[in-house]
Amino acid sequence: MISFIIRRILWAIPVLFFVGLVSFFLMHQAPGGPFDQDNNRKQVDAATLKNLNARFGLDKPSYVNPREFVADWKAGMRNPFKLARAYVDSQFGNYMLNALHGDLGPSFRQRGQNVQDLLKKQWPFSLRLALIALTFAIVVGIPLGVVAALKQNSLADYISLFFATVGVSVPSFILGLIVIIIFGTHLRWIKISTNDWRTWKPYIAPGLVLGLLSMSFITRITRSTVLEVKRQDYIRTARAKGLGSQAVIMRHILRNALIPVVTTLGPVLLGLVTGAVITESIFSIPGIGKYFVDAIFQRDYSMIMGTTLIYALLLVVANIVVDLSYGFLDPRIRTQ
Amino acid sequence: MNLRRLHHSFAITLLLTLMGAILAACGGTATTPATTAVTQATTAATSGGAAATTPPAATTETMAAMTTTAAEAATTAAAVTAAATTAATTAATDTSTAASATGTTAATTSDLTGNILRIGAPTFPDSLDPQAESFSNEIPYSQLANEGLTRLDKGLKTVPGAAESWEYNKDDTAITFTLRSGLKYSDGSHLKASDFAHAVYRTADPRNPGDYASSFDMIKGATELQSAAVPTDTAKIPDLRKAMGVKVIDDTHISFQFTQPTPYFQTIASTWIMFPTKVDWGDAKGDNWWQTASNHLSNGPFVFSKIDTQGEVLEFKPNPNYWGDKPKVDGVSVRFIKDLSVGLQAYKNNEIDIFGPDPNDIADLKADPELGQQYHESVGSCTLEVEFNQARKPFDNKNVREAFAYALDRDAFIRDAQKGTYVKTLGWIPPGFPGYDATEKRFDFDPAKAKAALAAAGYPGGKGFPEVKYSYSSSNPANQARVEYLIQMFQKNLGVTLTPDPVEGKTLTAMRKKAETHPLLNIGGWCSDYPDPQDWLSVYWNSSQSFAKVLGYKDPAFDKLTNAADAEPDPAKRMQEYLDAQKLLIANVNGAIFGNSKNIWLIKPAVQGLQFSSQDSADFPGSTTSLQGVSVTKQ
Amino acid sequence: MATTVSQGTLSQEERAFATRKPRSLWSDARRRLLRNKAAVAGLLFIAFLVLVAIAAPIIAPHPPLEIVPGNSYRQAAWVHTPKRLEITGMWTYPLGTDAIGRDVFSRLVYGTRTSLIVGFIPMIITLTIGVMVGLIAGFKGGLLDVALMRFGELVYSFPSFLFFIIVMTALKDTPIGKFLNGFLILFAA
Repeated sequence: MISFIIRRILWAIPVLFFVGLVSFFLMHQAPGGPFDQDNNRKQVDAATLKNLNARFGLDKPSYVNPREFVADWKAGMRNPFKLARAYVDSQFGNYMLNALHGDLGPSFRQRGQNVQDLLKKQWPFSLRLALIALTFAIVVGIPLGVVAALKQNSLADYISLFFATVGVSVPSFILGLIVIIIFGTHLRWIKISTNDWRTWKPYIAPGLVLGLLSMSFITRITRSTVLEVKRQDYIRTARAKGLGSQAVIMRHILRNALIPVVTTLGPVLLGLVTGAVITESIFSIPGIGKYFVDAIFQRDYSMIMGTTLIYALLLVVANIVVDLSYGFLDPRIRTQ
Repeated sequence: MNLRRLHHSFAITLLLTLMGAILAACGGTATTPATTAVTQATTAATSGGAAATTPPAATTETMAAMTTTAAEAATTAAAVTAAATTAATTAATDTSTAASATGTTAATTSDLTGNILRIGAPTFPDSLDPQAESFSNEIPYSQLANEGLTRLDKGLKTVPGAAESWEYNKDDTAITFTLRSGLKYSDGSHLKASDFAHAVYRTADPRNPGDYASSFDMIKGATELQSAAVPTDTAKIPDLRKAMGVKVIDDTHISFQFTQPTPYFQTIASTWIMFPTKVDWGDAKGDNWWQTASNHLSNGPFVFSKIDTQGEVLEFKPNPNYWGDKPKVDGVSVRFIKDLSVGLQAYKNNEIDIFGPDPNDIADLKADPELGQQYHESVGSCTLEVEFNQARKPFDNKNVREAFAYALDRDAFIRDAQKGTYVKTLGWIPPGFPGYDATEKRFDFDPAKAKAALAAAGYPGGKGFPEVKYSYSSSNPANQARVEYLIQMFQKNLGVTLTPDPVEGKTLTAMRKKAETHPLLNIGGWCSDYPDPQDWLSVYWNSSQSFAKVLGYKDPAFDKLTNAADAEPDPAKRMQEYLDAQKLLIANVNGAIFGNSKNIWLIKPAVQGLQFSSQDSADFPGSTTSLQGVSVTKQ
Repeated sequence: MATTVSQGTLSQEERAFATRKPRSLWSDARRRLLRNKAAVAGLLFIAFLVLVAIAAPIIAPHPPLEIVPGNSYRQAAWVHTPKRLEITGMWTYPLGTDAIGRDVFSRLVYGTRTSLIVGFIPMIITLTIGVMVGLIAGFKGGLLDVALMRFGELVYSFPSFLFFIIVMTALKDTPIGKFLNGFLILFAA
């Protein structure tokens, strides 16, 4: 168990390194830089551009800095650590070394603010939204899926199918607008232009909108796993033993059917926290979703690197947790 | 059995808390110094009752767990949890993490009472530091709370602001401003002439490089300061400042010396980069000083009463120390609504008083019996044209440019493709701006002349015309229909074949940096920085400028006229030279000019006295005049 | 002897089962597919879309790129607004018109071409690569399996949008890039 965790954590290092390397390569290949202004606006002049590049470290070579290495060597430096540091004194090297210390660099767009400060400031809003959405998805999705599976082709089954279809096919900006028009303009239950994001109440409507897709996903997974478990031999045995259907469902079917469902919750929550761009935009929630998208359009290099690395880190962790939780939930896997 | 059930719930809790903890750790909560954390936790605890309603129990647990995990990661942050648990409930712990991130207080409800003007705007500003701003979502807010030496009235005339008068020397190479006596900031401290000098220093400071750093190039020594290298030349900065042509004579007199005659400097003195900055007031508080309302010293009609960069709240109160008329409203509150359709719902719900709707809704709004009455439009500060890359074939041929200019049915294009958000124009400088030429009627839509011009260029009926790509930014989804409309129009009227070429926004910007890669055809234009013909003609079309270079526009006669006008001390003669230059520009067919941008608004009848101006930001009307004279009747 | 006895004890059905030709993998798969109602419905729908895509010029009442000036945002045929005749519905434009006066129904019909291509090509690529990677990881196992799974994490987390931009720009003037960029127009005309 411990060795498994350690192994996985060690694996995370090359994964994160290459995620950083690939995004660094990609963003520098994309045409246009962070200081390029559109032609109907005042352009940055050459002297200022030079100072800007120096300030953000863009005057350094991209990946490695052999010149610095040679210069230090000629100057008589023989300390291998300092020589290695000189060799990686490049945009990429410096970024990754700083990222190790938790410094994700200054944002190019929001001047004067660091990427980690911006994300740290805004993530609680995204987390709240994601938690509401996840709660909704679990509380509604699992029971709906179970009922749909136990009573196939019943009303509940069709309702689950309906929500699954709506959740997948109606884009969230349409759904969000419909919710706002119905509950905001007509029923007046919610305030449309709220900025009260430090409380929980305004998150309910956006949470439902965001959670619908996850809910339909969870419903379908629950339904199919319950259907599968229902046909297992041990369920027949339990019934043959004379157990009441209540007990069979609760103790035998649900317990086993929920394993795959629980293991998907990590990635689902991850998706909800980082992938709520559209919902956040419709409901004007100041979350972190916008940084994941805007950074690329604005070529905000450090923000692109920062969001990508954080996303990769969360993904790695979520996968470790999922693999661990398999072991917790299913003794057959644990013994292996 | 029970043990296994425990496993289940444990796994779920583990999943949720770990996710939270990792997120918290990524944010780097651990670095907050212990002492400030304690005070902030206490503040949060005291205001906690009002700030945070009780969250659902399960999530409170998660929040608490995650704070604990984050705290365990570094010993310094342990104080956060310790202080918070002694001081308040878990709900307050949550708030304290949020509060310690920015140092802002956690209160969320509005502090304003009375007759409040509620503005709906799309995006929260990236900066509120006047010398770092450059966007329409930043500048108007600073315009409410600040005032330059001069200001613009709604007719875009330069009128006295903080300075009551100004005087040029004989050849317009120096200007002296006389400030009003007894000017005070909102906190009661004195506003001195040196604060305006400081604004110039800050703008040109190489340690604070910004888009508008080169705006004071005409001042002696400004280029030297601005192009000093950082950090190698940092030590020289004080000397470079002293060497600049900025002289503070006494507390109420300041003069600027120029490298060449600059008869339009009083207009530049009204721009946001000239808003006074008290010496070492903001900078001493770090790069993010502007995020706290109390750090802003206002000399305009309003004062920032609340800035919450985290929750995106922006509020203003009247400035009691403003020299001029006091605002008639008790406060201004800005609501940031990113989506225009949602903004319209908020407006219908009476949650905001002023709002710029989606152009696609204009027809429906005008037809609505109630909203139609509240619909207003004003001409904005941009001129748009179909741009030709004149450095490359076939647009290096003037006849081809003429053909395209004649082939553009402006009325139909503006009505159908632009939804009436432009006002048709054929001249370069927009109406309302000095230098506007009302007599310009050349190259209006005329299919017959278009065909003739194309034939004269050697492509009768479009025969032999090379394949031309029409490039547009795909980052704005509305562009596709517009471009397809234009292409069909050109194909019909000229018989040429054009290919639509969607390009991601920033990629297109990069392509437009060089004449070799600049698209042959695209929609472009210019928006005013300050109302002077120099900003429109010399800054854009003089062949020494990057804009003219990338479009391949070069006309020695035009250069000569604009250079002469820029340095001409006689206002009448100067204006005539600009008008002549503009005539020349149109004669060369610089582009197929089609319209001036229009700002469209929905304004509640309760709002009275709003002064529209062409220089207003597209985010809200009346910013140029700092919303002076605007009143709201109590709802 | 023993065989005859056992044969004699088989019922009619069992005999039929024993002597029947064994089903091939594909015919078995087909039977299973046809027994699944939802799958059949899905197939029929896709077949319908393919039909619409092929017969688009016959079905669509207007060319999808035809712009009629002054005909923007006409409502669907059954919506009548006598007060605003410029947008009232008419059967010439069954589903109304878009922002610059093109027939929405015709664009919808032609749009199935694009949608089918966008749906199928990436799916085929994903299936091929995904199944191969999965098979290799599963059969070889060991370090290769772990490495491939971690590679999946890597691919999953890097910003795909940047990749699009680069591919679009890099391939802009190549035939593939023109196809990717312009297939909207290519298929609509």
